Amino acid sequence: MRRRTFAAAAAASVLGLPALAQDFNWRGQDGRTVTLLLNNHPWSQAMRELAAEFTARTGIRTRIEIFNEEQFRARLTTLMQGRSAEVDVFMSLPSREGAVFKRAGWYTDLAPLIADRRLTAPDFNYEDFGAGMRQQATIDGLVATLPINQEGPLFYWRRDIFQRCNIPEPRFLEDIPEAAARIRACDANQGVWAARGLRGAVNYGMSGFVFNLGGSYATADGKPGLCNPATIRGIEMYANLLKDYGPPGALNHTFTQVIELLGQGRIAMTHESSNEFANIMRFPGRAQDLGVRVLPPGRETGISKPLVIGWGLAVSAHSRQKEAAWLFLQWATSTEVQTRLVQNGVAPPRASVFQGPAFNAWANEMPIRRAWAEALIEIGRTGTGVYQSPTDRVPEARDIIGNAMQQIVLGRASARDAVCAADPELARLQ
Amino acid sequence: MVVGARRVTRLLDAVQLGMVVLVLVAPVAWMVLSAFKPRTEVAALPPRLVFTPTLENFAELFQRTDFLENTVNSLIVAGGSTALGLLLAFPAAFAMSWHRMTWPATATLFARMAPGTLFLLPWLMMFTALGLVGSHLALILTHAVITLPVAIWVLLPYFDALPREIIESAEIDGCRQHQTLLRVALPMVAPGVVVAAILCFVFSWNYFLFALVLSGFDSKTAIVASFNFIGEGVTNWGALMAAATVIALPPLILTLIIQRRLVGGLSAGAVKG
Repeated sequence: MRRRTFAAAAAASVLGLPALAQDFNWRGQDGRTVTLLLNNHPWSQAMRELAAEFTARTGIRTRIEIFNEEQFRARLTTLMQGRSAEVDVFMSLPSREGAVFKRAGWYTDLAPLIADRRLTAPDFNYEDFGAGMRQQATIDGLVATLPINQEGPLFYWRRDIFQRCNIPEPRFLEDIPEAAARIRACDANQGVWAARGLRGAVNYGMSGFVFNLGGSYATADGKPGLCNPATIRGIEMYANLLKDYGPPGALNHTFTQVIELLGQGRIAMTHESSNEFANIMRFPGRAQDLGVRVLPPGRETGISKPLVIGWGLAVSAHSRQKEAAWLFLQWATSTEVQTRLVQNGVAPPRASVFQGPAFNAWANEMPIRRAWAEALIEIGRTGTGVYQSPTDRVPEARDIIGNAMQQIVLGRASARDAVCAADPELARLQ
Repeated sequence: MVVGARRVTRLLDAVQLGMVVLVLVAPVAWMVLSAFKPRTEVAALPPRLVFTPTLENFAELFQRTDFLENTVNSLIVAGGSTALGLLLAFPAAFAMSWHRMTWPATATLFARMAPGTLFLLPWLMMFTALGLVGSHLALILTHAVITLPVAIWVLLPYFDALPREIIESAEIDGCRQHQTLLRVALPMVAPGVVVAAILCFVFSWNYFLFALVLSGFDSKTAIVASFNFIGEGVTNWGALMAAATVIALPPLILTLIIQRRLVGGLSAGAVKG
């Protein structure tokens, strides 16, 4: 019987009979349950609400576990190291951990799944994701994740305070310290500046300063190299803003503290994540008095090189139900779902959504939304996802660079000494 | 002169007491008040002491999340590991005291002092092989590493203080070992058992690391779930403070109910002879 079936299937495949060809079917994994491990993020919160629709379409139930980023990573890495099949789908930031996770064998290569017509919806259109996002998600030829958002640090400033103090909107990076000094002189009770000071988080906010002043974290031959005048100037500018105009305890601050300060109107400027936009808009008054744009370019260099990164969804290499997990990835990153996620402040990585009517209608409702959307388009076009010295050990490299910045704020070393001292440490990570 | 010195001493005592109260009570007061504040006022500086209280944070906690189930999970795990810890620690502490063996107690203390991460991976692999990852049982067993040493060390001085003659008399009167333990020793060290139970419960209730990795969707504890309120673009201080208030309640209530016995118990084994 089995032999007869095999023979029929073989004949059908040779003859290309359509009757036996298996088409894509959303309900192909009906009855399964996939477990998702997610970082606490606007995307994840929205997914909690939307997941029932995925179940309705596919018959696959979801179990969503959401943790604060630090705890999320602790749980994920321990489970993966233990080769546990507890998690089927997990969020990942390929620009940060991609190389290490890939080497550890934790990602399922999505390329064969994308190419499989039996498993992938005909309207999936992988090329609709921005080229930069696809590039970040691909590590040495392995497609590790599907992008779920795009984000990067943006310059937020209080337009009302600038107007009250008669200060023009900063056109160049060098205008920011000048504006800070004028705000301090204009209103001594007004907080001026806040930004990430926590060692491992510093690079995200600081790298735009380094790049726009012409600096970089690598030498021309691709070796770690911070000890050059432009990089030192960028790190020093960021450190001095924190030291001279930052809030008390700034070196322990990351986005949570910075956004609270901005939302409550206690600071006039910051350089923080585009992701926080929806959160900031919840604070009374901020939708009216805040401005947002890409960090201004360097005056002399004319360079504007912002950061752009994106979280992605990966299928665990240890999952026992990869096909069901892959269906979830397709649904969660579909045009339909991404269009709806815009309402939650999630910037869509699909070009068709970003340029689509729903997103434009939403953005045009308020000037600040339009400004935010335009800033995102710009960072999507000009941004980079690499903001540390060349290494696979990304978090460690960011720690070392962040530490150099902290030494300047603490006054323990001159800018030059602190930055140049980081180079030998970074070289050891290669 | 003496009266003046006394006044100064009293004043210094009051200042010292005030400082201690400020350090200990202020964060708790801030937590409880914040739990009843509207979301936008939680982190306002200077803190607003006059505000219109709201239950919206608690409503969000229990209506939009599984925090009630998480709290029940915490009760199961803390209760189970406390019971298991006491069940093992009671005869163990008795035997250690009776035979004057200190090394087993020291060994359990070393296990308690070791960083939790040391156990995580082996346990994960072990429980995965047994199919227990994500179960309450896995958490109860792992939390016994925390409760067992605590219970042994709390009970040891109580057993040391027991007159050996009483135990010997019970044996002469025909009691078997387990009868001696349950009918004679247990009533005499009951205050110690209460103290040990409370401490075990509180330590297990607040322990985060094992539950973070070894719990599953249906066994996530409240302390782990509370971290869900901190996140990128979504930090919800109000709900976090409401969660912290709920988490603080069971140990607080437990301690208040048996406070008198707790204080008596803590000092009972302090002086021997």
